Amino acid sequence: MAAQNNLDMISQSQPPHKRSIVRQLPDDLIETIISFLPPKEVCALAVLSKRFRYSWHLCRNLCFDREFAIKMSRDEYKRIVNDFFIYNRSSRAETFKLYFDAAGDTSLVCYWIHKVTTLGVREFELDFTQSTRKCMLSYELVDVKTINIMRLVNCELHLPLASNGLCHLRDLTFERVRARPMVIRAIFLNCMSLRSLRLIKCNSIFNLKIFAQELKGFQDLEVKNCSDVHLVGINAPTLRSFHYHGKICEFKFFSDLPKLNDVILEIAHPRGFHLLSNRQHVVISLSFVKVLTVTSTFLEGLSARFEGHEYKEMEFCMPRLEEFHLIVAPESNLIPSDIASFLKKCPQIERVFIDLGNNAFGTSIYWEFHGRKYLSEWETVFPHLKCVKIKGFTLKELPVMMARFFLKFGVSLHYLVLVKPMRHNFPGTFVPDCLRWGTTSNAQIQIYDYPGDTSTIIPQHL
Amino acid sequence: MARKNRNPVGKNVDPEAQKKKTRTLTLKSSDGQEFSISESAAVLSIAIENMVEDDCAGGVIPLPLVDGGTLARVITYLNKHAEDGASDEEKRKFDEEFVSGMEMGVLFDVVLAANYLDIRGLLREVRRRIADRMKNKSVEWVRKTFHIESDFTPEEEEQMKKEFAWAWEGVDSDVDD
Repeated sequence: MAAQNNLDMISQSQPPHKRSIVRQLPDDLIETIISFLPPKEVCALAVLSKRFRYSWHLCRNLCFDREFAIKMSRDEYKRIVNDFFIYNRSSRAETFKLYFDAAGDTSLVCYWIHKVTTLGVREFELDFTQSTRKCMLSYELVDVKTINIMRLVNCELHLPLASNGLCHLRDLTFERVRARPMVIRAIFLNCMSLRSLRLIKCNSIFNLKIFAQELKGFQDLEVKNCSDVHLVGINAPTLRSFHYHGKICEFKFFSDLPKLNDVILEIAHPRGFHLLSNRQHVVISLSFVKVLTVTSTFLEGLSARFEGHEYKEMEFCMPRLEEFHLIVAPESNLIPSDIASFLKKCPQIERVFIDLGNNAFGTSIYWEFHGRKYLSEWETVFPHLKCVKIKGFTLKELPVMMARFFLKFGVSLHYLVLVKPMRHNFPGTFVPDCLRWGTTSNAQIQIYDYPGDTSTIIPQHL
Repeated sequence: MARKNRNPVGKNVDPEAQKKKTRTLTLKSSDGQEFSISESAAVLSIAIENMVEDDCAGGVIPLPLVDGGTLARVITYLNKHAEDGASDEEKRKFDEEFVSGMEMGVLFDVVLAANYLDIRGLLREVRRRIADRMKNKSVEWVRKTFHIESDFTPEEEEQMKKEFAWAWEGVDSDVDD
């Protein structure tokens, strides 16, 4: 009771927002706060006082991840993790992360997993990077409703098609997992709360079918460096972001994507001649996008084609696009007129980032017969364009034409940022203002060396 | 989960839940400020729920351990979490913002209140946030912040550090902002 009176006095005598001395918390409460710290910090705090000597037994942040395992032998790691489970007195676990080679110790790992699932773990990560063989994870082991976030690395999960388990899972990441069509299908039948799915370096995917029409909140899809994807089919009306990094594949959209505003299509330059299939369908499906990052492979697919006796442009519009980031592959045949022709379809464009590869923007027959004329006859202005950044800028004809193009037609351009390629110097006689000749631009022209680019104008997708 | 069963907020079919939404309670802080709150929001606090069930409420519920400023914050939290149609996603975002700007002293006030009123979600959120702020801090900092006096002898402390040598690897002691 004395303590209570004491608390009353403190709170009455001083306004709460100006109090410099913070209140004394009861030891039990301090102990439960400490239990939210990761293992290393909890154990280091065992020296606080005798009262907290064994507080680490309550640890609920069981984060034995890669960083934790650094500088530790396998045996030491195993002993410490096991101690945490043997002495654990906590009623809850928030996080469980494991970075371990399970070979030879699978039953021990199963015991740990079983234990954290009974503690109602929310964030669950198994990283078996070190294992030479993929570890099989039985579904029953992780079929708990408490798990919100799951990341599996170098192992496999066998989900039955309809079990309603993992129904509260929000974020799922598979890394180096065999994500066969059945597995993906089971995910979308089971995990009704799923918001985000990341597939990184997974294999056995083939036809990736994202059929999320029954899910209320599916927002983010990332497919990165998965070697054997042939087709990505998406039916996800609530999707907000789609990031694809990898080789060229077919994209099919089975639903409207009114919320999709953030897209990366970082498609590697294909060996040999290979164009994006059903290109018209793809650009139409992306028509609500606000921030778009693509590689030259994508843009080449959209560029003008020689049909009959003349070059014909594709018809589409990206009415909401505000930021466009283009990464040009060194082997690319892309020329400035392709970029201009694309931007013409983006009336709201504000920010343009162009990363030129080493040999990009070479002159070609296509440039001689089509590009140069196309740009010299250009008339459309970009009223909303605020900043343009060109990386790998040289004083060759095409990059200079590109820069002058933006200065001339970006009628309210504020910044033109030019970053030189690695180990490249402009002649001493070069004056940035000469780019402005023939335009009325007031834009600030900033020039940076490649490693010394301190410009604050950076794309949203890095 | 048990709480949810005892307290079926948001199920429109339940007439009792409907009543709770319209009925208001008055909470009185230690410094005499009064706040009215719907019963459905108030009973997210297990302590208040018990008081209501035991009918010791009688209109005004005195909370002598919570000052007005803190109670106002707690009520903001309760109202959001009792709101009809607020999705889990929204609540998560709210929780994140709710604790993000708070100073350590305020966090302590709120954690004490959440502990006393037994508001599980809030208690967890605030404890986690305090723990976040403790990361990479020295033992001395933690002792000072939580008013803990060491009763270990220097020899005992050395012994403990040896025992948990792995936890001390790469730790710069006494570097705090």
